[in-house]
Amino acid sequence: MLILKIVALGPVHGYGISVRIRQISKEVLQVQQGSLYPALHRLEKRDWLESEWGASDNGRQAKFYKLSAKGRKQLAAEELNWNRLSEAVRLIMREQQG
Amino acid sequence: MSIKRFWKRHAKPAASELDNEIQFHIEQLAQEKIRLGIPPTQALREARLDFGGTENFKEELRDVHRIPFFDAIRTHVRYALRTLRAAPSFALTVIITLTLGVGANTAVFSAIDAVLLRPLPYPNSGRLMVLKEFRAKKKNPEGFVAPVRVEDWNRLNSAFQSISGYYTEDTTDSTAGYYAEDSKDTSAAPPMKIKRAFVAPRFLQTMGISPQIGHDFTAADEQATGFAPGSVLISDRFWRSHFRADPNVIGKPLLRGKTSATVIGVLPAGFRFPTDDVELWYVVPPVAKFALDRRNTWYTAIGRLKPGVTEAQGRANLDLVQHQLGLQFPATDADVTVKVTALKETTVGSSRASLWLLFGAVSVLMLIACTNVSALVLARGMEREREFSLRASLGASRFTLMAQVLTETLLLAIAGTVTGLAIAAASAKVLGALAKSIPRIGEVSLDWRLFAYTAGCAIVVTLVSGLFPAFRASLASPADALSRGGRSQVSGGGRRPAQWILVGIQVALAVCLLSGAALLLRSFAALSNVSPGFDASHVVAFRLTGSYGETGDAVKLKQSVNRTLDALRAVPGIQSAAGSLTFPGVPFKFPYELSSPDSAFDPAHKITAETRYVTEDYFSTMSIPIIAGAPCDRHHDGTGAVVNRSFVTAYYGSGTDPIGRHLVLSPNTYNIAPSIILGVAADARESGINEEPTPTVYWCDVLLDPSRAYLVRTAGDPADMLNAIRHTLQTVEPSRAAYDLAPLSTHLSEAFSEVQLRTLLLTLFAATALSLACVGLYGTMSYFVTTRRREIGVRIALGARRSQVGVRFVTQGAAITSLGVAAGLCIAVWSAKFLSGMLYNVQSTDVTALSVATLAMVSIALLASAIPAIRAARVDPMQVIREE
Repeated sequence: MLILKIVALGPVHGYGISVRIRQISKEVLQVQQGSLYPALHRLEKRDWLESEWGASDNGRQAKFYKLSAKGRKQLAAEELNWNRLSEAVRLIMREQQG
Repeated sequence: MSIKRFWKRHAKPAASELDNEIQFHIEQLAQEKIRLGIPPTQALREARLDFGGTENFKEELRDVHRIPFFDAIRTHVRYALRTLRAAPSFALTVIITLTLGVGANTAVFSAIDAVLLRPLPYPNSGRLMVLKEFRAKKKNPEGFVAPVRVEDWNRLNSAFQSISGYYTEDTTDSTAGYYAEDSKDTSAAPPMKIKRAFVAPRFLQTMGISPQIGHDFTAADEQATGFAPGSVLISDRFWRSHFRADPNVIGKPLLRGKTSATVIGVLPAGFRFPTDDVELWYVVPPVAKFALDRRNTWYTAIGRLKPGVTEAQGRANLDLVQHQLGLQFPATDADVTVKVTALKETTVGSSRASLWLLFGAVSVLMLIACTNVSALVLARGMEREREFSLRASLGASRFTLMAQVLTETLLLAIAGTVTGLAIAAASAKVLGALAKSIPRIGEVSLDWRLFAYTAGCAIVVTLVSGLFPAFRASLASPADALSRGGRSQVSGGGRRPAQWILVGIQVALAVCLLSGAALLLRSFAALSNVSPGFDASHVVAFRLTGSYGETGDAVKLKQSVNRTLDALRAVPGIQSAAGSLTFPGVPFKFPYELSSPDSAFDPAHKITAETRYVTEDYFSTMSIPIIAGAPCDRHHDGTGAVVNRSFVTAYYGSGTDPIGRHLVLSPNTYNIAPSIILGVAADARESGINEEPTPTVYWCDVLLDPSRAYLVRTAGDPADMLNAIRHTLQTVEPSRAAYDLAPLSTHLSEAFSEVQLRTLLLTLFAATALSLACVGLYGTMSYFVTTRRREIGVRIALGARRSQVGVRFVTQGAAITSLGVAAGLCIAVWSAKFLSGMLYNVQSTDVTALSVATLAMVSIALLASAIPAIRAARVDPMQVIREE
C-alpha cells in the first residue's frame, strides 16, 4: 500500500521510491533496499503498476513506475481498509486507556 | 486475455534489464553518499551493503516472473526426454508393451464403436423399431407381418409417425425371376444375382430419407391394383453400374424379363436397407388381392416412433391396437401380439456378446501392459534411487519428483498410444476382412471418437502405470541412498515386495485370459469334432435366383426344380442331387406345431418339430441313413413325410412303428391333406451342428420359396465340381443365377466364422498376455539379479554352491508365479460365466482347459525366471570383488 501510495504521486523510479519511503517514514521503516524490487515487479505483474524506461534527473536511463487504473482502485480499497482498521485499533486503545 | 496481454504479463524481462534497474539504484545510492562526503570506492561498497545481496534479489525477481506451471512442465519434459534418451532399451520396451496394449484395445474399440455405439446411418435412427407378429402359443412365436395388418397398425396407432414393411428376394438382373423359356439372351454374360426389396407404402418416409434424384413412390403407385410393379427405386450402385450414373435416368424403363418398370428415383449412396446388397425397391400396393388375406404374412414391419415417444409407449399402443383387431377378426388376429424391437438391436444381433468379450480381453491385456510398464518404471526408479535422493537433498519437493516420474511415463504412454493407434488403423482393415459376419463392421473408421478414446487410454495408462512408481520415487529421502553410497548395498530386493506384487498381478491376469482362450479352443475343437449325422465332406451347396411371384404356379415351379436336379444328376462325377429348405448344419430353426389325425397324442402336450422340405434323393445326398421304411421319392411329392428317430422317441415312444401314420401342420390353415409317414431317418444336426438333434419332420415336398437350397453329392473333391455345376445350371436355367455356390463344408465354417474369429482373437490376446507377463517376470528377476550381484558374489566366495544360488532365484520366481496362477484361476472361474453362452459341450470350469492354461503359464514362467537365475549362478566372485 505504501508503494502504491508513493507511486500514485507520479511516475517514479525504484530509487526514488526508496528515498521517499525513508523520508516519509522518517527512517522508521528501514528495509533492505533491494527487497523493494521483487515487490515492485510483483505489483507490476498484478497490473497495479505500469512501467516504462525513461531518463532520470541526471540523464541516466531508469525504469519509471506509475499507477495503473487497476492499481488506483486497489489503492483506494486498501486505504479504506487501512483507515477502518486503524480506527478500530485506535478505539480499542482508547477503551483500554479509559 | 488477449495474447498481447498474456505476453506482457508473462514475458520475462531480459536479465540485462534487471541488472540495469538494480545498477541504477546502487549508483544513485552511492552518489548520495559521495555527496555526503564519503570517498567514492567506499560509497559504492556501502551502497551495495545497503542494497543487500544483489544475487538474492535477482533470484527472487526471476521467481516473480516465472510461470510456475508451464515452466515446470517444460523442465520436466526436457529432463524426461534426456533421461529416456539415456535409457533407450527401457524406453523401447515400454513403448512396445504399450503399443500392444493400446493397439489391441483401440482396434477392438473401433469395432465396438462402429457396430454397437454409433447410431445407424438414418435420421433419428433411434426411433426406428422393427415390428413382428408374435404368437405366444407357437413354438416359434415370431413371425412376419401380414400386409393388411401393416396397414391396420399404421392407420390405428397413435405412437408411430408411420409404419411400413419390407421383404427381399434374390433374383437376376435379366429377368424378374419368372421362369423364362423364351429368353434369347443365352449368349450374353451369365445372369447376375441381384437382390430386390418389396416394400409397403411409406417406406422411405419411415426410414427418413428421400431419393438423391427423382421422387418417392406416388399415391398412384402405392394404391395400384394388380401385381405389376410400375415404378422402381434404384440404388446408387445400380445407377452407376447399369445407367452409367445418367442424371436423366428418371422415367427410363427398367426391363425385367417380361415386365418393365419405370425408374422413378435413385436412393442416396449410403442407403443400404434392408440389406447391404439391395439394388431395387418396388412398392407392393396393399389393395392388391393377394395382400388382403389376413393369413398371408410376409413383411418385416418397420415403424418410426413419434418424437418423444418411448419404445415402451409404442409397444403398449400397438398392443392396444392389435387387441382391438383381435376382437374384430377373432379367427386370424386373436392370438397375435406385436413384438417391438429397436432396429439397432436387430442389426447387431449376436455379435454384441462376442465384441464385449473381446473388449474385456483387450482391456485385461491393457491392464497387464500397464502393470508391466509400472514394474519397469519402478525397477528403474530403484536404479535411480540415488538420483532421486540427490535431487531431494538439493531441494526438489515430493511433488516435483512425482511430476518428474509421471512426465516420463506420460511421454512413453503418448509414444505407445500413437504407435498403437497406427496398429489399430492397420488392423481395422484386417479385422473388417476377417469379420465379415459381424454386421456394420464395414463402418469401422478412424475418427475423432477414436482419437478421443486413445487419448483417454494414454491418460489412463499414465495414471495406472505411473502413479505408484511416482509415489515411490517421492518417498526418496535425502539421507537414505546417499549414506548407503551404493557400494555396500546388499539385498535391496527383499524390502521391495511391490514389484513382486505387480508381477503376480500380471501372471494372474494372463492366466485368466489363457483360461478363457483354452475354454474357447476346447469348445471349438468339440464343435469341429462333432458328428453331425450327415456327411458334408463331398457335398456342394448352392441357391438359385427366383421370385415369390413364381410360387403362384406350383406345378410349373416344381417341374423347373426337378429339371434342374435331373440335369445335375446326369453330370459325370455327380452322384446325387436334392433340394432342401436350407443348408443342413448351418444354424437355422424352423419349428412348427403338428397334429396327427390317426394318432392318440396327448392333447396337453403339443407336438412341435423342426420342419424341413426335401426332394427325393435328399437322404442319400446327405448320407443320412434311413432306419426304417423308405426315403422321400417323386411319387410322394406333397403327400409323404419322413421323421427322424428323435421324433419317434419323443412322440410315439421308442419301439413304435410310425410308418403309415399321418401328420399335418397345426393349425392346418389351408386345409392341406395330412402326409403319410414313409420312413424314419437317423438323427442329424439339421438346425445347426452346434445343436443336439431335435425331433424333425422332413416333408417330401419341393419348397416353394426362392431361397430353396440345392445340394449335390460329388464323387471326388467337391471344389473341383463347382465349374461343371455352374456350367450345367447355365445351360438348364439360363435366366437364373446360381449363388452361394460352394462346398457345404465352406458354408459350415463360414456359419461359425464368428466363433472362429473370437476364438482366434482371444487366443492371440492370451498369447500376448502370456508373453507380456513373462517379460515382466524376466525383467524383474534380471533386475534383482543385477542389483544383488555383489551379494551373490560374496556368497559364492564364502562357499555357497552355485546351484543353491540359482535354485533360490527360481524358487522366488516359482513362488510368485504360483500365487499369481492361483489368483488367476479364481478370477477365471468367476469370469467364465461371461463365456458360458459361447461354449459348446465344455463346462465353464473345464478342468482340462484350466490345467492347460496353468501349465502354459507355469512352464513359460519357469523358463523366464530360469535364465536370470542361471546368470546369477554364473556370477564370478573375483570380478564382483574387483568391481568394488
